[in-house]
Amino acid sequence: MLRILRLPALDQVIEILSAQESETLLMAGGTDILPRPAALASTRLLIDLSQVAELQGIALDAEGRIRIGAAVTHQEIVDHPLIQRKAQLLSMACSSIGSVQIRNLGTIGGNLANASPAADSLPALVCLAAEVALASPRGIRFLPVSAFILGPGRTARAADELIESVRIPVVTGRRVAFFKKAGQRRGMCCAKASVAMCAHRHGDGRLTKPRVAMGAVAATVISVPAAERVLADRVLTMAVIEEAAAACCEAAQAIDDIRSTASYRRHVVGALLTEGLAEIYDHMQDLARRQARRRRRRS
Amino acid sequence: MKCTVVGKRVERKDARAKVTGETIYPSDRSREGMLWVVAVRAAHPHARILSIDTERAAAAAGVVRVLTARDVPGENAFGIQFHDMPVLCSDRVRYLGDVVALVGAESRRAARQAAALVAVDYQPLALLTDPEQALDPATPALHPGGNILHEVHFHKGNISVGFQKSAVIVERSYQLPMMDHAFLETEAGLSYFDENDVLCVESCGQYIYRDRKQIASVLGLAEEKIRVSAEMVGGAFGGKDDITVQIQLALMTYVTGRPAKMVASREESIVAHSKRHPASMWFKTGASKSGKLMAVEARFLSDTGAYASLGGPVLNLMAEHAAGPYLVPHVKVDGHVVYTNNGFSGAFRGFGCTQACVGIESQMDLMARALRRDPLAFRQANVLHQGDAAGLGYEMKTAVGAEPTIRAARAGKLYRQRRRIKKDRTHVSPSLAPFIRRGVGVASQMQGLGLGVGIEDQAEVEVVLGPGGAVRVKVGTTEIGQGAYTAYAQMTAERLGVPLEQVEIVGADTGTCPDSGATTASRTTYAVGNAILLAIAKLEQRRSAWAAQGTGRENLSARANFTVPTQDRQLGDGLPHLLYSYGTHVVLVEVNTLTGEISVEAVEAYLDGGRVVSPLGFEGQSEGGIAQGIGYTLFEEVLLDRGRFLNTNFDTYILPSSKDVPTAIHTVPIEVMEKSGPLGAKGISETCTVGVAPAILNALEDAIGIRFVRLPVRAEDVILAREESPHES
Ligand SMILES: Cc1cc2nc3c(=O)[nH]c(=O)nc-3n(C[C@H](O)[C@H](O)[C@H](O)COP(=O)(O)OP(=O)(O)OC[C@H]3O[C@@H](n4cnc5c(N)ncnc54)[C@H](O)[C@@H]3O)c2cc1C
Repeated sequence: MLRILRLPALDQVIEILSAQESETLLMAGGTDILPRPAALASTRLLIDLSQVAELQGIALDAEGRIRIGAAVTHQEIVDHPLIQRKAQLLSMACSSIGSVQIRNLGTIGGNLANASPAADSLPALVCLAAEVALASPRGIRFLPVSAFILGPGRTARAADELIESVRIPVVTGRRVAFFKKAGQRRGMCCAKASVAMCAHRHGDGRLTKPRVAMGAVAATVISVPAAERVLADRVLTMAVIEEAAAACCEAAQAIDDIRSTASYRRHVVGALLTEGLAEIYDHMQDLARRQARRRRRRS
Repeated sequence: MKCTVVGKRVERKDARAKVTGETIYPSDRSREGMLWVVAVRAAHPHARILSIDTERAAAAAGVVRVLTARDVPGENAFGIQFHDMPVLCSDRVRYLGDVVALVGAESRRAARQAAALVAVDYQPLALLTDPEQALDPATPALHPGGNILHEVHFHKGNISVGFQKSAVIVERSYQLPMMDHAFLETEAGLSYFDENDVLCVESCGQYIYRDRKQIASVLGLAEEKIRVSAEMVGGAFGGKDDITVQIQLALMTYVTGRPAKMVASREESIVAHSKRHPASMWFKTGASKSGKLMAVEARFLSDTGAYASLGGPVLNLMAEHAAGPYLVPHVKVDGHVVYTNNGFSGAFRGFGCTQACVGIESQMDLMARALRRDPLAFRQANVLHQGDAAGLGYEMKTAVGAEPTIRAARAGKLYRQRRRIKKDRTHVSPSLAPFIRRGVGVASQMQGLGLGVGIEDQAEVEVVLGPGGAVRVKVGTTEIGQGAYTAYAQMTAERLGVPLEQVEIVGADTGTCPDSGATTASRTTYAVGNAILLAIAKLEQRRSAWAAQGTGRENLSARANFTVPTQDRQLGDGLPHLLYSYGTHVVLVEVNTLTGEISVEAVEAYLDGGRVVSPLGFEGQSEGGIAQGIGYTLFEEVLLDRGRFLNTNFDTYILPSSKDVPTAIHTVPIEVMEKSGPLGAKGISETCTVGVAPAILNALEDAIGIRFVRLPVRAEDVILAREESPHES
C-alpha cells in the first residue's frame, strides 16, 4: 500500500527522512514522479512537500541573496518582481518549462532534484552562480548547483537531506541575459539542447563577467568557460558571436536519442548562442542609438 | 436556392455539453457489478505460441475469468474486409498488439496485475519488417496467401509516348511515415446484458452495424440478440473503423454474464490500433514545353503491417489519386501493399489520397519550377473539368470544383502578395534577419467521397414528427467529433421549415437507429443528408394526403434509404469514385536557418465540398485538418525497431501543439453545388488535410531551395540538408 503524507513543517519532513526508511519518496509538484508509475511501484511512503511552510516564498535572505523556497513553482518564479528585476535569466528559463499547467505544479526543487540533463532551470542557475541549500538533522549546507548535480538523475543529496531552497547572489549594474531552447515543438517539450547566458553590459558595448551554460548536451548541465573567455571584456560584434558559438559547439558532448541527434545538438547550441547574442547585440545598438539621439537633443 | 438555416453560423449542438464536461463518452460509462477487462498482448512481434498458462492469473485476487481462444464460441477472427485478425491468438502472433488472453477482474488494478501473470511460451519467428523483403517470394509468408495483400496495375495511353512528348521530366522517390490518429479518447467501452437478455455494447466504433455483425459471428449469436451503440466518440480519424474493444467486451460479458468495461492506456492504444500506412513512392512525371502535363508514372509500396484491415482499398485510392486533379493523357500506376510485422495500418483521414498527394503535388511544383511557370497557373492550365477523363481514364461525371479553388487561391492575399510577405523580417531582430527565410507553397487535391464502386454504400434514416412540432432524426452514424449531427439538424430544419432547436438527432444505436452506414470516407453529410431529405419528402407527401382527406395526425414518421451513386465501371474494391471534393492550400513557412526550425506562419484553404451546410463545422474541420497536416509533415512518426514501438505516448510521439499551428488560418468555401448532394452539399473532412503536407514541402523549397522527400521534416533534416546542399548560402 502506498501512503501519502502531506506535511506542513520542515521539521516533520526531516524527522521522517532521518528515520532512514527506504521506500520513502519526496514529492513536490509531482510532475516528474507521477508520469512514471515504475518509480512509484517500489514506494511505500510518499511525502508531499507542496505545503511545507519553510519551502515556500521568494525573498532576500540574511546575506542579501535571493532565496527561492524549494516548493516554489515555476510560475511563481516567472511572475515574481524580484526575480524579474534581479534574476531575469531564471524567469526566462522557467517560462519555457512545459505549459501553464506544468508550471503551476512543477517546482524549482523538483527540477533540481530530478537532475535531468535537459532540465531548463539548471543552465540559468549555473550562470547565476546559484547555490542549493540542503536541510538535514545536521542543519543546512550549501552547494553550488554544478557540485550538486552529479549525473543524469544523480545529485549530491544525502538520503536524509532535502532541498530547502536555492540561493542566488544579487549583482548590481546593467545586465543582459537570455535563455534559448531547441525543442521538438514550441511548447510542452523537453529540450533537445538549451543555452543560458548572462553578463554585465557596459556603455561602450563591452560585456564583462559573462556566464554561459548549456543543457541536454552532456550528462549534466555544463558551463562553457571557452565561450566565456571569448566574450569577456570584448565589444560584442558578429565576429565575436561566431567565435563564442564555435566554442559552444566544441564543448558539447551530445548523444543521439529519441529526441534528436548528437550532431544536431552540437550544431544547435552554437545557433542558440548566436541567436541570443545577436538579439543582445541589436538591443545594445538600439540603446546606443537612442542615447546618441538624446545627447544630440540635449546639446 | 436560398437557405435560411443551412449555411448559418450556428453553434454546434454538442458544443456546450462537451465544454462543460457533461458529455458522456464511452470511457465515462460504468455499470453496477462490472468487471474490468485487460488484454494480454503479444510479447513478441512475431512468434509461435507454444503454450498459454492462465492458472496463476485465474487464481489471483479479484480475478473472475481469464479468456483464451478456447473460449471463443464462434469464428475466432474478424476484420473489415477479410476476417484475418484473431480475436484471441492461439498459435501465432504477428504484431505486438495481438491479444492472447483477456482478464476480467473486479478492479482495473487486479485485472492489470493478473494480466502480468498469464504465462505464454513463445518461440520467436523470423521478423519481416522490410516491405521490400515482403515482395520477395522466398520470404516466409505471414498469411496463407503470401505477403502481398494486394497489387494494382493501371495504365492509360502510352507512358513512353508521354515521356517522349515531354520537355521536362522529373523523377523522385518519397518516403512517408507511419502516423498515429492520436484521438483524444483511447479505445473504450462497456458491455452488459439488458433485461431482455440482449447483449449491449456501448463503445467507440465508426460503424455500429458492421461491429454488430462481427460480434455476432464471433459469439455465434443472432444479430438481433446484440445491440451496439457509439453515440459520442472521443475522436477517431479512421483509427476506430476497425473493431477495437467491442468484441473483447462482448466476449467477456457473454462468458461471465457480467457487465464489463475496458479503457486502453495510451501506450496500449498506440501499439494496438491501426495507423496511417507508411509508404514509399516513386514518381516520374513529364510536361511539354508549353506546360501541358503529358505523363504521370507512379510506383507505390505500402506497408499494411500484420493484418489486411483496409490496406487494399487504401492502395486503390493511392492509385486513383496518383495523377491528382489533373488531365493527363498518359498514366501508369503500379503498386503493392504487403504484410510485415510493423504493427498494422488501416483507415486514416485521407485514406491513401494523403500519401499520393505528397507525391504528385511535389512533382507538380518541381515541373513548374523546371518550366519556370507560376505553380498555380501551371496547375490551373492542367486541371480536370467535368467531363474530362480522370487519371485512370474514367469520366469525371459530377461537378468538379478543382479549378475554382485554384483560381480563388491565386487571387488570395497570401499568393498575390507573396513576394512582399516573403521579404518581411519586421518580426525578427535585425542581425538575425539574414538567417530567416520565408517561402510560399501551394498544393491542390481531390478526394473521393463515399466508399466507391463495389462496396455497399447506403444510408437509412428515420425522421419522426412529434407533438408540438418536435422533430427527431434517427441516424446510425457516429459523432466522432466532426460535427455531422449539427449539419443533419440544419438540413432537417431547413427542409421542414422548423426552428433548429426543435430538431433532435438521435444517434448511433442499433437498438433505436437504422443503418446509415459507416462514419468514414467524407460520406455522412452527403449520404445521411440525402436520406433525411428523402424521408422528409415522404412525410410531406403523407401529410398532404391526410390534409386532403381532412384528417390530421401529430405523430408521423418515415424511413428512407439513400444509396450513394457510383461510376458504372469497377476498377477495384472501392475504385473509382463518382464524387470528389476538391481543395487548394496556400502555405507560408518560415525557416530559421541557424537552428533549422520550421514554422508554418499562415495557411489559406480554398475548399470545395459543395454547399457549406455548417460554416463553423466547415472551418473547424479545415483548421483541424491543417493541424493534422502540419503534424504529418513536421512532427509525427511512429517509430518501430524490429517490430517494437519506440514512442508510445505523447512525450515521445510528438504532436504539434497550439503554438505550432498558426492562428493565421483562412478557410474559404468554394461552393460548387453538387446536383446529387443534399441542398448541393458533399463533404470536406478529408480534403481539408490532404494538401497540407505537399504545400508545406513546396513552401520549404521556395524558402531554402531544398526539396524534402521524406516526412516528417525536422530541424535536424534542415541542418543536415543545408550542410549537404551545394547551394548552401
Ligand atoms: C508534460 C511535462 C512537461 C515538462 N516540461 C518540462 C520542461 O519543459 N522543462 C523542464 O525542465 N522540465 C519539464 N518537465 C519536468 C518537470 O515538470 C520539472 O522537472 C519540474 O520542475 C519537477 O518539479 P516537481 O515539483 O513537479 O517534481 P516532483 O515530480 O514532485 O519531484 C521530482 C523529483 O524531485 C524530488 N524532490 C522534489 N522536491 C524535492 C526537495 N525539496 N528536496 C529533495 N528532493 C525533492 C522528488 O523526490 C523526485 O525525485 C515536464 C514534465 C511534464 C509532465
